[in-house]
Amino acid sequence: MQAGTRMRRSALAGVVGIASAVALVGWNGAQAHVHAAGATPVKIGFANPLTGSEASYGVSDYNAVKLAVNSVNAKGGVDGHKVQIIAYDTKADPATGIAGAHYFVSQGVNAVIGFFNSDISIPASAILHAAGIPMVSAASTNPKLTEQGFHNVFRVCGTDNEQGLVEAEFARNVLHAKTAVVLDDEEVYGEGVSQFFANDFKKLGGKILSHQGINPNLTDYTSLLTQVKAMHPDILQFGGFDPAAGLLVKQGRSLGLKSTFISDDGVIGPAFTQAGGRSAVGSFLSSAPSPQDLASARPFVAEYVRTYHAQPTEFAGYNYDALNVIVQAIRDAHSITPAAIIRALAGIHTFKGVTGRVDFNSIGNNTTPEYVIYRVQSNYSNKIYWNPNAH
Amino acid sequence: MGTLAQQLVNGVVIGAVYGLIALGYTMVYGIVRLINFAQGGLYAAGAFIGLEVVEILQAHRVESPALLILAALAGAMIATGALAFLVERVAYRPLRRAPILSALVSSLAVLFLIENVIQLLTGAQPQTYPSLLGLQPWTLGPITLAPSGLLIVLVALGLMGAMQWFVQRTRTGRAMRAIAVNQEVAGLMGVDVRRVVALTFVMGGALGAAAGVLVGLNYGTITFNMGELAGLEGFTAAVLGGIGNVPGALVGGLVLGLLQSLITIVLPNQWNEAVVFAVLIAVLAFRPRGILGERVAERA
Amino acid sequence: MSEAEAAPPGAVPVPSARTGPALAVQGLRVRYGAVEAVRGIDLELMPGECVAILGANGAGKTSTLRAIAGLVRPSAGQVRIDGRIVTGQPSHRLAQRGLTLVPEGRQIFGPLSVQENLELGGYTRARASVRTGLEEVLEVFPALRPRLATLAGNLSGGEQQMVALGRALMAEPRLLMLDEPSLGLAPQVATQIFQVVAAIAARGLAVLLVEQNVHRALRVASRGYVLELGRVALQGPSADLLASPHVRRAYLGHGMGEAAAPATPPAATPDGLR
Ligand SMILES: Nc1ncnc2c1ncn2[C@@H]1O[C@H](COP(=O)(O)OP(=O)(O)O)[C@@H](O)[C@H]1O
Ligand SMILES: [Mg+2]
Repeated sequence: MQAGTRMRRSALAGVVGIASAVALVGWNGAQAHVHAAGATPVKIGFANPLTGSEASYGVSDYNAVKLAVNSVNAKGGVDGHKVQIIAYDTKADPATGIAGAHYFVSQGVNAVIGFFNSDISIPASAILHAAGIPMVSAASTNPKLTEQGFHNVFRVCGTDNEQGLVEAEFARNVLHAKTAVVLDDEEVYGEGVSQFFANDFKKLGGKILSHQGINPNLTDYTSLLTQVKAMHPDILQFGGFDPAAGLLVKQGRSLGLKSTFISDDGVIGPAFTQAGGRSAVGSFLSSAPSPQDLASARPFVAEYVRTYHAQPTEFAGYNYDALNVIVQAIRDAHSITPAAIIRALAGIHTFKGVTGRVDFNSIGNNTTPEYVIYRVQSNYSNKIYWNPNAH
Repeated sequence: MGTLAQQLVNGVVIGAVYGLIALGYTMVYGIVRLINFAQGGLYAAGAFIGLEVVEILQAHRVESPALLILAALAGAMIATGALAFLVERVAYRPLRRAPILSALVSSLAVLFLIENVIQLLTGAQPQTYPSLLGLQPWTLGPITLAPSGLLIVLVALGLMGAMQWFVQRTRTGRAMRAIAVNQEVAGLMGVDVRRVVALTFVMGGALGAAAGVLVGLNYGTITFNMGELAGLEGFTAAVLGGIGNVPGALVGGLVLGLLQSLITIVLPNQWNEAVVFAVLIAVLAFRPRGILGERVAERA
Repeated sequence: MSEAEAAPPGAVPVPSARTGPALAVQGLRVRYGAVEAVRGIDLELMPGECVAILGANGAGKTSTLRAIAGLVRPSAGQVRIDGRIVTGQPSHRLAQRGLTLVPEGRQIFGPLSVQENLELGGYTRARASVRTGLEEVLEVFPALRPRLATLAGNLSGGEQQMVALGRALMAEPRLLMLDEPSLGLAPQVATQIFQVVAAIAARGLAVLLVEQNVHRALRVASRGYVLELGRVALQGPSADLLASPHVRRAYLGHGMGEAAAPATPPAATPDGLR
C-alpha cells in the first residue's frame, strides 16, 4: 500500500511534522541503543518515520523490531553477537530519509531495515547497493524497489502488482463479476494497482468497459460517475486513496450507481468512511492483513500489546519478520559481513515469520506475501471477507 | 437520453459553484483591476470556518439543519469577509501604487499562506462536513439531484442577483463603479476610495466563503488545498463570462460547468481539466471580453 | 492679513464683510521628483468671489488646484478652507467640507449613465436631497434631461463638460474649482460653457477658475492671478490685468486663445451675466 500514500504525503510531512510531532523523547535524527557486550555486535540500521504525520506507523514498526531484538539477545544473540539497533528518523521526508542511508554507511552497519516510504527506499537502496550493505524493506510496496537489479535489496511485504491481482481474482472468482470500470488517481501506487487489476481481470475472462484516470484533488465526480452508471458495470475498481474514494462512492450511490466498489488499502483511511458515509459500507478493499487478523501473528500481537499497551499497526509484523530474517541469514552464513548476509538472504525460501512464509525470489521479492479482501462493515470497521491463502 | 439530462444537471450544479467563486474574482477585478488569486484561499477558509461553526453549534446541541446551514453560511461569510479585509490591508493596499504585477504576486502569496495556515490548524487530512440536508437525493425519472445541489444553484442565483442589485442600484455600488473608472475623480466626489475598495474585497471574500460552505455541504469533503484548482476554475469562469461583469460570472460558471460535464460523454475524464485550460486560453486569445463582455471601460 | 485688506477693490459684494476667506493658500509648493511645479504660491478667495488663475501651459495651474483639492500632497505651504487648515487631507474629506474640483479634461465616468454621474456628484449629500439637486442641475443644463439614461462616454465633448459641471453642482459646493472648462471645446460650445460658469459664479459660491483664455476668464472673474513657472507673476482686479502691458503682450497679443475668439471690446457685457 503505503508506497503511494507515503509518496504523496511525504511532501507535506515537513510542515505537518512540526505540528504533530509525536512526543518521542530524544528523537533527533538518530539514536543508538547499545545492547551488546563482548563479541562484536551486529549493527542493524532501522529507518522509519519516527516523528511527523506518519510516526504512528514508524513508532509501531520500531517497537516490533525492538521486541524481536530483545528476544534474540535474550537467547545470547546470533552466533554470539548481540544485535544492536541504530535507529534513524526519516520524518517521511525524502531528503532526510536518504541522508539516513549515508549515515548507516558511515556507522558501518551490517544490514538495514527500511525505509518505509517507497520514495525514500528506492533512492536509499542505491546508496546501500554502492556500499554493499543488505537492505530488507518491510513496508515499501512499490514494485520498482526490487526491479533495479540490486542484489542487496529484499522485501518481506507484498507489492502493488500482487494487490491488483488479488482484487481481480476476488472480482472474477468470488463475486463472478463480468464487467468492470476502472478508475485510478494517476499516481504511482493507484495507477499500478489498477493496471494490474485490469490486466488480470481480463485474463480471468472479465471485460473492462473503461479505464480512466481521475484527478484526486477534485471534489465533483458526478459527470464521470454519470457516464460510469450508463455503462452498468458489475464492478467499479479504483486505485488510489481514501479521500477521492469516499467522494466516488458517495456521489456514485447518490446518482444511483449500483456497481460493487473494489479498491485498495490506500483507501483504508479515515477519509473514506467519513466522506463516503453509508455509501462506503459494503465496499471491498484489498490489503495486507493486519497482524491482529493473522493466526500466525497472534503470539506476536499478544506480546506487543503486553509490552507496549497498544496495538501494532499494519506493517509492524513485517518489520518483526524483517529483523528475524536477517538474523536467520547471519546464522545461515556463519558470518556478519554484509556480503555474506546478502548471499544468505538470497537463499531464504522457507522462513516462517509471523506474517507467513518468507521466500525470496531472484530479485528479492517475497513470493508468498498475503493479500486479503476486507469488507467495510456497517459500523465502518473492516473485516476480512476473503483470504486467497486460506484454503 | 437520461445520461444527457443527468449531465446537464451535474453541469449546472458545479457550474453554480464556479459562478460563485467567479463572482468574487469579478467583484475585485471589476473595481480595482486586480486578479485576486487569494480568492481560492478565501474559498477554502470559508469552507473550514463554516465547518467549525457547524461543529461548535452541534456541540451545543443545535440540531436544526436549516439553522446550522444558515449559521455556517453567515458565520463563514462574515469571518472570511473579515479575513479578506485583512488581506486587502496587508497585501493589496500597500501595493496600490506599485505595478499591478506586484499585487498579483502578493495575492498568490496570500493563497498559499492561507492554505498553509489551514493545514497547520487542521492537518493535511481532508475534513468532513456532516450531511445536514439528508442523504436521499431526489429522483425524477433518470435524473437525481441532491437537495444540497439545488441549494447551491439557488444561493448562487440569489447572491448573483444581490450583487447585481448592489452594484447597479445602490449608492455604494455606484461609487464602486466610479472607482473602477477613475479612483481620483471618485475621491473628488467625496467617495472614500480606500473604504469602498476594502468593502469590495470583503464582499469578494464573503462570496468565496459561501461557495466554500456550499461545496462542503454538497460534496462532504474539504481539504486545505481545495482552493487551488477551484480558484483556477472560478477564475476561468469569470474570464469566460467577462471578468468584471456580475451576471457574466454566473453565466461563465454555468457554461464552464456544462462544458465540463458534457465533454465527459465523449472524452475520458482526464480531459476534464484540460477543458478548463483550453477554455481559458481560447477566451484570452479570441475573446478577452468574454461572453457578456466587460462594460466599455473607456476612461472619459 | 486683515479682512479689510483681504477684500480687494472691485470684488463682487460679499454677503458679510466680517467673513474670512473661503480659501487661503500660503507658500504652496508642489514637487514631482526633481521638478518643482509650484514654487511658493499665495492666494485667497473670499466667499462669493470668482477669481481666475491664468498662465501658460505648464505654469503650474493644475498642480495648484490638485494640491488644494488633496490629490497631490504639497511639499510645503498651507491650505485653509474657511479658516481651517486642511493641508494634505484626502480629497474625499475635502469634498465633504464643500470643496469641489472639476478636473482638467472633464473626467466624467464614461461607462456610467448621465444620471449616475450626476448622482455621484451628490455623493456627499443627504440621500433625500439628491433628487431635488438633480432637478436643479437639469434646470441649469436642460440639454441633459433627455440624455439622463445615456452612457456619459457616448456624449459629445460639450455635453460631457455639462455633465462635469452638473456633477460638481450636485455637491452644492461652497468652493468650486474649475480647471480649464473650455479646453478642447468648439468655440460656440465654449461660449455656452462660459455662460454657465458666469451664472454659477453669480450664485454666490466661491469660484476659482483656471483658464488659458484670458479674455473670457477675466470677464467672468473679478480678480486674477497670473502664474509663471510656478510663481504668481502678477495679480489684481480683472480690469487692471486686462490693461496690464505684460498681460497684453504675453497672453493677449500673441495669445493662443485669442486666435479662435476675435478681439472683443473689453467693455462689452460679459457673456451670460445678467
Ligand atoms: N504628475 C506629474 N509628474 C511630473 N511632472 C508633472 C506632473 N504633473 C505636472 N507636471 C509638471 O509640472 C509642471 C506644471 O504642470 P501643470 O500644473 O499641469 O501646469 P498647467 O496646468 O499650468 O499647465 C509642468 O512642467 C508639468 O510637466
Ligand atoms: Mg493644466
